[in-house]
This record gives sequence, C-alpha cells and structure tokens, in this order.
Amino acid sequence: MSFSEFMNKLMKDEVEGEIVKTVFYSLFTSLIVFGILYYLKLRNISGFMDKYGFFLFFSFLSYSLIIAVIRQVRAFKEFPCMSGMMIGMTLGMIAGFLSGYFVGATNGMFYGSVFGMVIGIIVGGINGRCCGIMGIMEGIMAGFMGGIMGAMTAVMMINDNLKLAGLVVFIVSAVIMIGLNYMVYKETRQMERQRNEDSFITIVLSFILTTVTIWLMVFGPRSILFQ
Amino acid sequence: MIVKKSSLYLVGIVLLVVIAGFFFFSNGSVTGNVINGVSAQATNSGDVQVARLSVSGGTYVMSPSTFKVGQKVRLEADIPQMPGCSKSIIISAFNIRKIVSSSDNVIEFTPDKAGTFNIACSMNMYKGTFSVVDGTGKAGNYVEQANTQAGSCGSGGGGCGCGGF
Repeated sequence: MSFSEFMNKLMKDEVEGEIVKTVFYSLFTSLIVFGILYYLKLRNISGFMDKYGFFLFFSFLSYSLIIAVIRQVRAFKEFPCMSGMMIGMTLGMIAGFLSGYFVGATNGMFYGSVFGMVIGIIVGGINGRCCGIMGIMEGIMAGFMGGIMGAMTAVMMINDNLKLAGLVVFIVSAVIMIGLNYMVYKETRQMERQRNEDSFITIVLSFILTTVTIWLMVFGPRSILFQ
Repeated sequence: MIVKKSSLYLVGIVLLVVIAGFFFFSNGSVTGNVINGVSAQATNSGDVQVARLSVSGGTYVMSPSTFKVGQKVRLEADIPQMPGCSKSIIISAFNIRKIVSSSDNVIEFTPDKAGTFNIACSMNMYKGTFSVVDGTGKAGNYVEQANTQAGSCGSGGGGCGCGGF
C-alpha cells in the first residue's frame, strides 16, 4: 500500500488510471475553450496576456487537478466519516483558495472572495456528501474559508510578487491534491467501484469553470483598486 | 496497451502544459504584478498648479513637488504607475482622502499653509512628501511629522488586503 504502488496504478485502467485521463481531458477542454474565445474576442483586448494570461493558465491547471479528484471520489459513492470529511474539507479549501486567489488577483478582494466561496462551497459540499451531513458541513466551511483566504492572499500580494506567490500556491495545492488522490486510493482499496462514468462530466465541468473564470476576469466587475 | 494509453495521456498533459505555457507567457513577465489603467499627462494651466503623481520604489513621487500657498493644486495620478493600495491616497494636512482610478485620477485641493507635508496611502505603506511655499518662495519651518506606524489588517486603515476602504 505504498505511494509507488499508487503511482503504478495511475498507469493502469482502474479508477486511479482515470486520474491522468481526467487531467488531460479537463486541460484540453479548457485550452480549446480559451483558444476559441481568444481568437474570437480576447486577442483584441490590449495587454490581455500580460494582465490575465498567467492567472488563466494556472486556473485551468488548478481546475484540471480538482476535477480529477472529483471524478475519483465520484467513483465511490460512500466513504467512512473521517475520510469523507477530509475529502470535503480538502476539496472545498483548495477549490475555494485557488479560484479565489486567481480571480482576486485580477478583480479584487470582494469578487475574488465571492467567486472563491461559491466554487469552494459547491465543490466541498457536494464532494463531502459522500459521508453525510458532517462531510457536507466540512466542505461548506472549508470552501467559505478558502475562498476568502485565497482572494485576501492575492490582494495582499499585489505590492509584492503576486505571480510568483501564485506559482507557489499552485504547487502546494497540487501536492495536496495528489495527496488526496493517494488518500482516496488507500481508503478504497478494499471497496468496489460503484459508479462508472465517461468523461462527459469532466468536459462539462471544465467548460463551465473555464468560461465563467474567463468572463469574470476579463469582463466581470472589479474592485476600484483594479480598475 | 493500457499502460501505453495512460502514458500517452501523461505525455499529452506535459505537451499541453508546455505549449500553453509558452503561449501564455510569451508576452508577460512571471514576476510582475497586475497593473491596469490609463496614463495621465500632467500639464500646467493658468491658476491651477498641475502635478503628476506616481509611485516609484514604494514612494509617492510628485512632479513638480513644490506648490504655492493659496493656489489650487491638481494632482493627476498616473494609474499604471500606482499599484494596489497606493491608489487609496491620504493627505491629512489638507483633509484629502480619495481612491483614484483610471476613470477618476484627479485630486484637487488648495493648500492654505506653507511647509513640508506628507502624502501616504491609507495603509501608510506608500509615503511621500511635498512642499508648499508662501509668497516669498520659502517653504517655512513647518514640517509635518510622519506617522511611522505602518497600517496592518485590523488597524482600521482599511485599503489594501484588508477588504475595506
């Protein structure tokens, strides 16, 4: 039950094997959506890449990691209480923090917080459902906190290395997400897979998150300090 | 075959990240910050003393930085040169407190006393000084004492990072 076993499983055709596939599909979908929007509209915006490119790129990467965990969790409908709470909390916190950070960096504290909270609460709450009300509560609380913290961190970093801090935040979050993948793998070794899904949800989620993020960052409302 | 398929996805992810990364970062700096807005050109006109306000190295820079007492001053903020909370400006000696933006980048006031005065952001992180001279062209001996206490979250200053103004 070591980490190397888990890494080997990533290359096989089981739930863990679908993690890599999901990351690819999610990233591919996000980049296709972005590419279409870029050539239709976004490239005409002055300084677009300089202002938004970095944050959009890492938003897409973040979504692909989060959606991969969501798919892994969805394959098993129920988890023990502690595991479910951990899943809800980790997903809610990371989803809220990352989305809050990247939107907060371009739109300001309020809009970043609200967006981060919405994403964090929805992702945390729905995925924490796998162990009942405790997991849902944990997910909602973590999403709420992560959303605000992400946007606050971004706004406080504006006078410092905002983009480098974003890179550090992303790397730490990616390690946590991989840790969560491993935890779910360990917890479900003795369990039967309960849900088989194709990549439809992955593509839909990626599409929605990508379009909403692009719209909010580029055309959405922003705090006065960011106008 | 299955192993090959997963490896292909892995290679695909790496390729996507590299290609997208190249595309996204070919125009931008990784260490820079978000700076929005339009530039303001300072000009001199009539009875109004016009100066350009910007930020350099954490300090407010006015150009020119000397004004005459009793004559209206019009500060035009160079928004692209003013990151984050430096847009939330306080000149306490003349009761000025304003958040400038690309759509409203002007601060106007009439100095009624001579001396050296402070300008700071609402968090007291960005600071600067300017002089007001009397009719003889002297700034006098008055030097406003700078508030050495930098703002922080919860200190009531509001502004950058703390969610309110």
